[in-house]
Amino acid sequence: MSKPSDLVQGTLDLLLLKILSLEPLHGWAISQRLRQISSDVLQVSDGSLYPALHKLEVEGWIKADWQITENNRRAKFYSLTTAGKHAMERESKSWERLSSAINHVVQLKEI
Amino acid sequence: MFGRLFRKLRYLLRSTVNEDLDEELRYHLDMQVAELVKRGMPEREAHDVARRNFGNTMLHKEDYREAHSFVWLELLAQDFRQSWRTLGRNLGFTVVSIVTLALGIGATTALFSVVDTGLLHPLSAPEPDRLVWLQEFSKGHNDSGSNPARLADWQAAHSFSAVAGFYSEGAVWLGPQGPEQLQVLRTVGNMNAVLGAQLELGRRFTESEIRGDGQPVALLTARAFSQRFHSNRAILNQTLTLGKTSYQVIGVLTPLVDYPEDIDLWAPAPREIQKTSRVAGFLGIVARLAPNIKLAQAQAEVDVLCGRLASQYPATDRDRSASLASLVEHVSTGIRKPLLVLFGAVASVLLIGCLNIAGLLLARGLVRRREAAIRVSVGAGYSRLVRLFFAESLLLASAGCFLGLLLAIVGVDLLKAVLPDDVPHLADLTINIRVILAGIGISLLAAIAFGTLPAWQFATGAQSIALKDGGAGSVGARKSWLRGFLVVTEIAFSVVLLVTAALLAGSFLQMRAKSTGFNAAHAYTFNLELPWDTDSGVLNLTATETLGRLSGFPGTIACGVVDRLPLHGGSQSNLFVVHGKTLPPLLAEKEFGLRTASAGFFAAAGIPIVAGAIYHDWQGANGAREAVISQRLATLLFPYADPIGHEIAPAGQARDLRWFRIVGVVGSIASHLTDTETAAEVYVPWGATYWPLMNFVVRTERPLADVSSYVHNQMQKANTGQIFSPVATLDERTAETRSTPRMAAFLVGGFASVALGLAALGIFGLMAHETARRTQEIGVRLALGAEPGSIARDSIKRGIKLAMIGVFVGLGSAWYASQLLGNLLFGITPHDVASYATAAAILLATATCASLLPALRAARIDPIRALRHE
Repeated sequence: MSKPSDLVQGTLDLLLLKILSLEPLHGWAISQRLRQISSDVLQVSDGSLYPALHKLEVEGWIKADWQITENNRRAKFYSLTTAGKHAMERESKSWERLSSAINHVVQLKEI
Repeated sequence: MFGRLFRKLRYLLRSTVNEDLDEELRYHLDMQVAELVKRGMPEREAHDVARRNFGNTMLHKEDYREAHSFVWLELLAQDFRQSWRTLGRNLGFTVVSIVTLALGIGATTALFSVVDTGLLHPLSAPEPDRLVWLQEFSKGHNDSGSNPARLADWQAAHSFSAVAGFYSEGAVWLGPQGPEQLQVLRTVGNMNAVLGAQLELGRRFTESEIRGDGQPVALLTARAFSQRFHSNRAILNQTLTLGKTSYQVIGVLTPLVDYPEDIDLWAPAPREIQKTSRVAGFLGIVARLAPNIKLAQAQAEVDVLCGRLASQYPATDRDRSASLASLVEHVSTGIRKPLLVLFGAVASVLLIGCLNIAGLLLARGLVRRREAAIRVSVGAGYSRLVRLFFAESLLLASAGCFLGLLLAIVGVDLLKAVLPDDVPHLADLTINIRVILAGIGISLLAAIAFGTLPAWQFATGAQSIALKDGGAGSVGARKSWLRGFLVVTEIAFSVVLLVTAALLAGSFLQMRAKSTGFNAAHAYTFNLELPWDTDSGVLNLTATETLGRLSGFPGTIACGVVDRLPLHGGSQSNLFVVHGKTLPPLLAEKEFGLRTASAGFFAAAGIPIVAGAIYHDWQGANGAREAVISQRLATLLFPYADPIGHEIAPAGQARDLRWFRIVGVVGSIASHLTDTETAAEVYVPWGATYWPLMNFVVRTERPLADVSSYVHNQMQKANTGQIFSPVATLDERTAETRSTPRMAAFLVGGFASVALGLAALGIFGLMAHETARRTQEIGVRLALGAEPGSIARDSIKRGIKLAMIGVFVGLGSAWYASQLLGNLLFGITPHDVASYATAAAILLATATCASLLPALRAARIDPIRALRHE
């Protein structure tokens, strides 16, 4: 239930879903991964990361379970559900539409 | 949707939620610290940086919990605790509101129980909405009933799974306490199958018993079983002797069999009755629709059937038609409209009560602006304030609901005493689960009705004023406008109720003032019902003997016997022919009333002789047959001639007409209280037609108690084993048709006065509040030399202005609403100017009185004190 008008919020949902579609990760790893793949362009504050994750969890798009990490500590790993997969496809389509539309506008040349 | 709810519920049930979150966030922080330390930051500093990056962990936790659990549930409990305290602090307001609500909810719920049993669930039979009443018509006129031959035709219809006919008759049973009158339902066809009647004991009628063959058998109703036989199972297979017939009791019906009402036993009609020709009309027909058949489909089949029967039996069925109605509606036809009007009235009173409470809440909201502002400043949101206020409303409504339901239990008993008997199942009216649910629903609606506006005001007001204390600012002015609006609405509703009450009362008075054509003063009546198989010789002997005894009563001026009392509907009617005269088609095809009366009846009932004389030979057995006709019939049939000496005969199917010579003309009596036309009737001597129901009428100056004890003693002495009804005044017995209008007028009048009181309270509250609010302003005015009188006038003027607007709106609404009363009104139009004027005058007077007291208080304000005030 992301609000299409809320660009930042909506994109964060999409990014999280995309990252989790590759493999289940815990919160810290997600924040690291975000930074890596966007070459530090997208810096999601830790303060907004967890609320976003929990919101997705309540929506039923991701699920969480406790697992042991590489350094032998318990951490909550998030993974994509089937509903989440559909949601991701939906969201990425709408993102493509939006971004291509914005591209069009941005590339308009004066005649 | 449900997935979310489920996940939330799971979280709610898990106690480890907080630890989970803590651990997750701690892990993140630790990882961040480790990373920073790896980059060379001192550990302590790394901790700080990590925490700073993360932000307020508490907020996170709150977000998390809000997302995962029912925080609002906890908040709601908090709201209720706070509201409880607030209400406790304002005990006066709380008590007034709760009492108002309890009265309104109690009355509405009690009346709903009548609507529920009387209109919505008048039948306990299984699938009652599949039951239909078949009414036959002759030439479009409501016919007295069907007959077994036609019943067989209806039974052949495919639209019905079962069809049965019935009539009821009284019978005397020699019980342990002497003779008792039992009511027997005579069935033709399988009544059990139609009604789905189950048995408590014993067995049903067999096929041959249903046809009336073999030894007479009977099923007891649950009512007779418990009341007459003390639920003693030994009655099964015993013989029950009623009059000349001995029935074997083969079973007992369950209490769920409640239609037809007031019946003691079911017995198939005797064989000879079941063979009656197509001419007769005495059966009521009920049917159960076949599965998947709709009423309209069944009606279509019945219409086709009627057409076929008309060509098959032209002599009897030519002009007959039949129409189907849901049995549920049929049993409640007469009472539907009065009940709905009453329910509307009582609901309006509840609404006015709610508006009153809303007004009080608004006034209190002004006082509580500071509280609201403080709540906002410490972080309460708009929705939280609204919720808080609604919690108060809900608490009030719950208390009102609880007390209201208790009141409803009392109210139901009151209603049983007040409502007329034709409300189905009036005697077993109870507060059942449906009624309780309705009461709770009504209370919730009430809470919404009186809580919405104040809650909105409370919340918006709080946002706009913040903490500054503004005295009587613009906000106050707006709120008082709102209260004015509420008061106007209250007044408008009261006016509608007052107009309705005035119209109903006017209609009732018209009905009472209406000339009935007979003189009920000093006339008393009682009746005797003999079985339909009574020999006509016995019948006439009983009448003669009883009349003889009545004449023996010292003080009897006149006495007589008649088949039906005046104003008791269902008169026999017939087409008539006049000897040697061809009637115009309009009259030849019109049915006129036919009454059988002894010669003394006219004097006893005070029906005047207009011309000629009454027949003498009331036995009329073999001698010359004589008749008298009502004046109305005389003007219809003999507009230019003297009717006396003409011969008249009921036009029947029989080939030889029975001629009656007209010997006199008597005054016409009203055929029905709500009819504008008087009855055109023919009276023939007692015994000229067979009718085993005798209504004796006696005229005497002596009081009722004397007549009653005389009749009682005489009957005991005679020891005929016949049961006479208690003696009543003729007025009482003939005014039974007035009981519904009277009840409606009284109850709506009562509700209207309560509404008026509430509206007055509303005006008073508003004006008193305004005076209090304007104390300072009035003080200044008085100090500057204003006359106290003009201050008071100003105040009253405002009250009257509101009342005028309310009255105006109310009269307009009443103009439309009163049209719904329709046939409840008699002799008065729904737009009767006098009623409207009365209502308006009463309301304006009340409003003036209500604003007088606050106005006087305003005028008496001491300027010095007022200026120091606050």
